Amino acid sequence: MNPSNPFFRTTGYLVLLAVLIPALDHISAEEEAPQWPWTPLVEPEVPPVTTSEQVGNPIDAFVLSKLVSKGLTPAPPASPQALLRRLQFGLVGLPPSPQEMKSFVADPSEEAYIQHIEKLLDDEGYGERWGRHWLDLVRYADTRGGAIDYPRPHIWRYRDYVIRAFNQDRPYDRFIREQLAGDAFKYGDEGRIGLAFLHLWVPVERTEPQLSRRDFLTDVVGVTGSVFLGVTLECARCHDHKYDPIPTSDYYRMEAFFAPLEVGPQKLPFGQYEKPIQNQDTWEKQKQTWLTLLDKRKEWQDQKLKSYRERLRKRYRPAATAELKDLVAEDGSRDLPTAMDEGILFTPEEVATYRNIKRQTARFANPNHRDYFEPTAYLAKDSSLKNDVATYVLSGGSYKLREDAVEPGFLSAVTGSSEPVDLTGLPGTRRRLLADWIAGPDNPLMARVMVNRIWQYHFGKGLIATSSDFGVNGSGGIYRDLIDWLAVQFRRSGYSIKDMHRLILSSNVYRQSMIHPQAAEFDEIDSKNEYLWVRSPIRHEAEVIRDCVLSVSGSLNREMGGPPFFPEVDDELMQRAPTWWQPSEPEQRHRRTIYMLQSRSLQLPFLKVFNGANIDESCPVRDVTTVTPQVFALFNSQFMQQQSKEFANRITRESGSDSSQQITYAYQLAYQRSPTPEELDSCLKFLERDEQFPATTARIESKFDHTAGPTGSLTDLCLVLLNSNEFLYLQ
Amino acid sequence: MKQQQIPSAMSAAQCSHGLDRRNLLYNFGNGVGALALTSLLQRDGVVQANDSKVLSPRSGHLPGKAKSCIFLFMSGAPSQMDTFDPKPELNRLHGQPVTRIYGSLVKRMYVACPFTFQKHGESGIEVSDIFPRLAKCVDDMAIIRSLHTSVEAHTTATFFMNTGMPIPGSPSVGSWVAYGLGSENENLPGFVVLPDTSGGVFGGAMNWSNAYLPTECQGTLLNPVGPPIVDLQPKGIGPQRQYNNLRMLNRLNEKTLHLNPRNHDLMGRMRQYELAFRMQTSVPDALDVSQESQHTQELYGLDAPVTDEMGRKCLMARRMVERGVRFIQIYCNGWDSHENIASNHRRCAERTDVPMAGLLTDLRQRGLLDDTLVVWGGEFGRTADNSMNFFRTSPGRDHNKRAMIAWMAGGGVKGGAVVGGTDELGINAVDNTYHMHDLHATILHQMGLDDMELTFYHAGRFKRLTDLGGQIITEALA
Repeated sequence: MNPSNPFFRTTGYLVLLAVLIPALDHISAEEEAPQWPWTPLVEPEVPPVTTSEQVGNPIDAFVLSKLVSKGLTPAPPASPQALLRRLQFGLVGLPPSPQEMKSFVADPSEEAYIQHIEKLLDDEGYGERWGRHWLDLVRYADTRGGAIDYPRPHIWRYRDYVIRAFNQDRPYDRFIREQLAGDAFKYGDEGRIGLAFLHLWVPVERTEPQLSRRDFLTDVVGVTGSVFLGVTLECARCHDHKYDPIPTSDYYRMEAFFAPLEVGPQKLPFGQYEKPIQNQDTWEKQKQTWLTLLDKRKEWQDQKLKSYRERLRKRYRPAATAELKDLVAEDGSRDLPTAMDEGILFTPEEVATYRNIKRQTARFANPNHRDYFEPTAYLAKDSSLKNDVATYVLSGGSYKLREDAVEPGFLSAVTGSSEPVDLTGLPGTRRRLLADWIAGPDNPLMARVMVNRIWQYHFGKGLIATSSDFGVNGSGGIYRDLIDWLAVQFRRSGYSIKDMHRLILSSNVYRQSMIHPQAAEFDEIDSKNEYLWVRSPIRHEAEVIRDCVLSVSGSLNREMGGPPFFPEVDDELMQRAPTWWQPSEPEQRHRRTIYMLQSRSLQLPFLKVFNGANIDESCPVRDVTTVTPQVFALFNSQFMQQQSKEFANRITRESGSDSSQQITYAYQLAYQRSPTPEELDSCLKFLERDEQFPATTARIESKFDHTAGPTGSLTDLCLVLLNSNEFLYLQ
Repeated sequence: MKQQQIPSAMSAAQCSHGLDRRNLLYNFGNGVGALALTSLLQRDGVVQANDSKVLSPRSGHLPGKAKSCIFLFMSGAPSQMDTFDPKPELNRLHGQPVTRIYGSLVKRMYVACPFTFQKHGESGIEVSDIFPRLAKCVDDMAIIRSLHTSVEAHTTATFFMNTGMPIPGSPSVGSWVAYGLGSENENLPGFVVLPDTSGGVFGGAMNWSNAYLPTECQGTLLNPVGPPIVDLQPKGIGPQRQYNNLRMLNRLNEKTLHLNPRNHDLMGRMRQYELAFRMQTSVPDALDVSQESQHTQELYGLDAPVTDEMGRKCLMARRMVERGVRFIQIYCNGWDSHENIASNHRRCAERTDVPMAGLLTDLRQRGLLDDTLVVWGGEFGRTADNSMNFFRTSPGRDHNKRAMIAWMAGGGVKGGAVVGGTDELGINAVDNTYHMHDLHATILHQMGLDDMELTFYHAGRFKRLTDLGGQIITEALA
């Protein structure tokens, strides 16, 4: 269409278009039969393959048949060393111990391999690793986000719930039901904690309450669509979906399930699995420490404020002009900020201190915060009294432009009909019906989407690369039959995620090497490795890198659950932090990264530069980029300097003073292998370099630094090892 | 011939990653006997003679007019009819209803421009009174009134303005320029992004992503306030010791490259370490606006809080231009004005008018303007009408992809030119229309790159910034 055509601008023509376009859309939509992934889930036949020795399980048959058709062959199996690291990082996100590696390399049999999988699935670190994947999807954060980023106290109970669910291998269908409608099923308090899923949106400041409600519903519908169904429902909010068979009315029919929904923090006693009950002593201790800290801070602030007020009074009271009287109230309190903000009486430093206090008190004088240790949970209920339950199609998504009223209904592309669901005699909530449908056997999307996600986290890329968008715009699709086959197995196992791991991990395709003898030739055919003829490179996620550094240095604290810890943050950054930030004690800070405070307004640079999840929205795939700031985080930061020092301490402590032994042990801890003679030689030379270039003895300036240990070359070698490619990438 | 000048991904991955000898001499001039160190490194084989790099400077396909580009991205999308494209007809129609498709068929109201326009300079181009200072530079500027784009949601359009595609995953225009021309300064990134401290960018870091281009071409984010980069320098480790560590890291990495033969990120990683090392001195120096005279600081508006941030970023950009950075992108958020266009645009202009005029003036005074292409624009244009509910309270303008405004200056641009035009209400670009791809092609052209020739083989075909090619906006060029 040529926009310069004057005819284009005439209103009549536009009206004609307005009538024609939807009509055309409608016709084409009706003519087309539903396409995958909207079609019912049917178990595909396992393709026959001649080279049976390469088939570890049926997954390999699907892959091999595709490889053969493209003239490709699979890569040989990875070395036992690479394989164990792959399993270990994939399932628990922590390196194996040198002993574990030694015994596996000595006996890399199928039995030993399977045993190891079982061992890792039983490790509680498994829930922490896979729980993190889930938290990415549900945009988990400990703070609310938006302009005023205040904390959501006790939202960590949901984080712990997710970790528990993975560790207990809670059936995925039940996991869905709990998060969408835990209040409507008989799952007890545990199920209700899952409801926080509905509460993780980022509120935007709005002047009209209707808009806030719209924002909330938009978020909940969108995230439900992308997380559980792998469809971009939100695209259909303002117009029929441009690519997928989702009419706008379907969007609003889905929204109608949430119309009476009411969410918010409420009292809910801690359950038997939760940290405060499991670990009461620690809990009480933490609570006391916290309260003391709050009291002390309050005292300090009060003193400081009092002295400021004194000064105001002393200097200005005697000569108080009318102007100053306006400025300073009787008790000196009310208008102190004005005097402060304008820098009339105080130096810029004092103004900064005052602003800091203001920020702290705003956050911590908040009564909610003294309740930080009182059991709260984010619950949901349906309230048709408080909410307008009638749902309308909204033109352009605007709440003021109501069109047809709609009743709750499922996606017509799946059910084949736009009939509303039967709400008569409804027990509990509308959401229960939705949860039952999403998690039930009539919905083919749920299982397809989830098995693809599990695949993605093991291979670095899903069979459908856009794992939250299975629509036409999604990418991938060579292995749809494999997804279907896996989805059927998933359903058959009662939606056991651990069983899905067992299945995928026992395939040969999972165990392929990254090195293929015909790589040069095959790269010509399939450079992106869509067909899976070789293992693709995986860089560890940000959390894994940090956890792994702590683990190797021997500082990792495996304590699970409970309130998040505050990480170490540079002073400069702390000044910009809108939340009050008090770094936790080192022992707390050395817990796994999943327990770190996830603040929407201040993401730890270490996590950010290594492509940590964007916690404002659902994050189905982590980007992997290689950028200079990663060097600043991994090579220059105080955190890494301290950890290298710890690492060096550990080596000296555990392997003695012989340099060769130290180096060998360092290699075993960091890479779970011994150095080659050449590497050993290089490292030895490096350790001796102190004579040539005396190490700077300047002490690392840090208020967290409690350890005095070997500085100089061994610490530096440790830092280098923790920065190497081998440390960051899986082989 | 031309393609040989630009390294392919393959040669980039294979090329050496040793430290550059000249840089070592530069960086270790004080403290260490430079000569001794260099010979030591040569012995170790760290310094190599034929050290070709992705970012080593090279000439483009054409004799380019501009060596650097400063891209002023007005995030949120400024309105054409309230800035550089006067539409008096709108004043007459103000408040009159119009029924048209915006999302769906809806009733809307026309909105008048709340500002006045005056003719400026010898060219007599009309500029809105929200830009009193910038208006004085109008004889340096070519206003493109007939620009249009393909999408009109913020995130997709921001991707489009940056990468020529509405979805993430394509290289940014800055990455293409860095890829095509390398950097004149080996101690600074070839492509730098100065964000708005008030918040993020629609679509985030994917807007300055190198995507499939070599990682060196990725935009580097520098904070204009506070430390430019957290942990730019390690505390307590001197440069000699750090250099030793770096050398050791490279040596260990080399030994394990064969374990991951298909992973091209690994070479990129090693080069990032070297760049990071050099940036420890070069970045703070480049960003240190306190080295500028008071007169210059005031020229950019550093003396007033409202213009401080934008002024700082513009001044930093000029300092980076002087240091040979190829592409500097400055973000200024807040132009999205669905409601209250009057106060929104006045506020946004207040923040940017003095700094941008200062930038153009300063570049001209220093003789840098001829070599520096300055581009200003948002992700799309705005509508002549507004939804009923906003109109009643405080009229604003919605998104419009069919007409938008941009201007260019310096770098071979014809000053005082007006390119194309819109219809009488500013809704559609009508005369000599240009698409976003054309703007991209023109930027590349002025930098000496042919958008049809600047390709990278990826996912089965040769990819371009302009997809199937763009048209050069010749009316804007001298």
